[in-house]
Amino acid sequence: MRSKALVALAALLALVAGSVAPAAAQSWKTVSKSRQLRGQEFLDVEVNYAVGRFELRKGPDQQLYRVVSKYDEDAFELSSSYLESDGRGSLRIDIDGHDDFDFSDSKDYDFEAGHLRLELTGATPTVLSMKFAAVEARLDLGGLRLRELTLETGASDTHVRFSEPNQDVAEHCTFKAGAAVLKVEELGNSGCRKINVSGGVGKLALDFSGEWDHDATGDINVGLGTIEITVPAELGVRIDRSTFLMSFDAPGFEKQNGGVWLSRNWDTARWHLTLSVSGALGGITVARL
Amino acid sequence: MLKDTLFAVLVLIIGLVPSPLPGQTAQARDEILQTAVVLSGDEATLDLELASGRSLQIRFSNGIVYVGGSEAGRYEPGGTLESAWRAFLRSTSEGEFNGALAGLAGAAAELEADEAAVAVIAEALAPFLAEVSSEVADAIAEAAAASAAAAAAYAASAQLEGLEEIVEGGLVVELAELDGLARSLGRIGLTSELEHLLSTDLDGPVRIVIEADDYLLPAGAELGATLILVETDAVVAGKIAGDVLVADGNLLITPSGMIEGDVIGVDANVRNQGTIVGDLRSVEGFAPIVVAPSARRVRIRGEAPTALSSLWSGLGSLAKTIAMYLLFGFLGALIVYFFRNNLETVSDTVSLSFGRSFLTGLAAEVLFLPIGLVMMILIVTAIAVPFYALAFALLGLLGYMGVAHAAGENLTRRRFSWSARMRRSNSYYYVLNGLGVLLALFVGASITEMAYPLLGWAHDLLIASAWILTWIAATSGLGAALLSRAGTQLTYARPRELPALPIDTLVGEMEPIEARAGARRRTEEGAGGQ
Repeated sequence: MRSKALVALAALLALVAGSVAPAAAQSWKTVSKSRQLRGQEFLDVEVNYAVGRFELRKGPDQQLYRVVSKYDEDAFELSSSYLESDGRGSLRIDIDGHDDFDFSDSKDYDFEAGHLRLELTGATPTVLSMKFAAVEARLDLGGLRLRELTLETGASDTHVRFSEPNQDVAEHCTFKAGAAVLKVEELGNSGCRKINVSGGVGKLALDFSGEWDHDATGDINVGLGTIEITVPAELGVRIDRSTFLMSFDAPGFEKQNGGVWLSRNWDTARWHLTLSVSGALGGITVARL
Repeated sequence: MLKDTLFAVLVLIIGLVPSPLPGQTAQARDEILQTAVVLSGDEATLDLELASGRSLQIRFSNGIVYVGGSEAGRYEPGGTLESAWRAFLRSTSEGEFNGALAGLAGAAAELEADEAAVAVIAEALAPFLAEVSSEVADAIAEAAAASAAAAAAYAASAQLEGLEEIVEGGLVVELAELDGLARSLGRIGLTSELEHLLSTDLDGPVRIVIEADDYLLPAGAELGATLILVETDAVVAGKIAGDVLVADGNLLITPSGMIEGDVIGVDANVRNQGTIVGDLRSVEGFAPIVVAPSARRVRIRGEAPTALSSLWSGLGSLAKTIAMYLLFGFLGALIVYFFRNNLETVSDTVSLSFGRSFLTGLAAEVLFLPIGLVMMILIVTAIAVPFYALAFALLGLLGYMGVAHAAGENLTRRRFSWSARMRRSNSYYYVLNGLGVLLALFVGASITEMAYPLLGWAHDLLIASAWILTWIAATSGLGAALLSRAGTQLTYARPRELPALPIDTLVGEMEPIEARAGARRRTEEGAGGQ
């Protein structure tokens, strides 16, 4: 974990410094792994990725998963394993920095050149858990059969999208962002019944559009930063606000007692979203599409 | 020639994949369950896992071709054979294995159809290809030899049936019953954690294999115990009538292998081709049992603290508190001597605007790290980061001393109200008094620590309260120092007290002056009238 933190910090500094110097010599290794769907009834996926670009999307249904990764084998180590028992598969992918690799010359190091691409089947119920350190992540979770989702990011730029409705019901979806930008689009397609979003420092953009066929609740918390929430007009929305030094702008909502805001269609809407929003410093804006 | 090269590649890929082991019934080509490709500067590897449970690895590395882990031949690094192999693997990694294989076969067929093109290419590359061709022939011959060796090894392994387990190197520990282990570890205070672990995950006799080079339970062998493998690679082809726990190692359960209990992998790689009656669980990043620092009653190296050890420990804490008081007292005296006005302004600010000071200090503590990070990121301000940290620390010190001053002043005023007029001349007294108040709880904690077996609860309560009080004081002091701009602004402090005017004296002095002025005015009026 310590090495992961050091790698993340070095990568963050190098990325932000905007170095234009040529990259130091790197020993690239490409690893590709795929497995056919063969009666698996459940898939548990865990991804830990230290530095680089990450992409996740739905693959062919008959293919349980496909991983393609390119990384510098002098600096990082890939560990991937798939275990299966009684039709329940468990896929674990781990790319972490070597303890003994010296990142002191990191300004010349091309951290962004490494990447990891993951494709998952849309035919098997899936529990997905991901942890990123300094990663630029693009995830399209549309069309998967998600039962549960957990995403933790460090100093990352993460963009999550549900381009198609979830084929299953996800009881919990958890997003935790450190010093990061986290953008989640079309959460209405996620099928999540309970959504937890927390951020340390940075920007959270949450778009709740999509095909709603259920009620949902959400806890959104940010320490220092901004929260941009977008909700579809037909959805009944209630916001319980608990903030310290945080501005709150929610046009089209009616203020109730006790820090509660209600959309005007709360009583008539078919589906409802109840959000509890809290934060220390920054601003919250809520917009209706 | 080129066709020969491609043919050789096809032989390596296709010919060896479905070859059944001796004793197995020949079958149609296996379905490929999992495909793994590794491409790096000195390695090009294909791993296939087949539906029958078999797996095959073909690896090109540093001029040597390995098939199933054994050296099968040699190739020229960067030559035609490696190029064709890498092209095939790249296609495989991007799409279906079978599609790439068909492409490779198609390329060979195309060459056969265009004999003229083949002749031209062959003529141009003849010297090189001759070498490659001979290498490929050698590789095929060696592969055949390796295959024969593998068959012999398999036949030999079949003869192992009926033998007990084979352990190479390492340490093997057998525990007939777990209660003894629990009792032993219970003496060092780990009873509850261990009992919980043992009662939930382990049952019956246990065999522990530690750091062995290899562990093999042959087909037909049976182990009637729970097996724990620590930093050991193991192959289980027999039957285990219990659970298996693998920590930091690899475990292969062959098709003939059977585990009647659960298989638990702790930071381990478990590949199951056999039968697991229970569950297969994986635990990563397993945290060892850690005795919390606050659990003072648990001492690994000795018994529970005695009255004498508690007394010494308490005296040590008391000495540290006194040393801390003297150090802060010295720093406080320096601040009073050089920056008295600033200190008094901070002190007034925290007294009159405590809530505002505390919230400001809290915000400053929260923002300290993000601002520092931003300064580090922006190259222009990065150089100022040490000064930023130093300024923050100095403001914190000034604020803490300001709180001590305010506490000492309030205490003194309550006890000696007549001393207000001595205020400015006694800041030293206030600071030392206030520090005594702020550190009093630490003194109390040290004293109760001396009688820890009896007053342990009071010590824990006092030490927690002392740290909370210190944090509140430091936070509000920091906030006051910021609000008052390090004691230079009186915005949130009381106005400076003006010295009392001696009215009586002034009136007495004014009377003769007014009398003389009246006389002069009357004289002038009289002169004007004349």
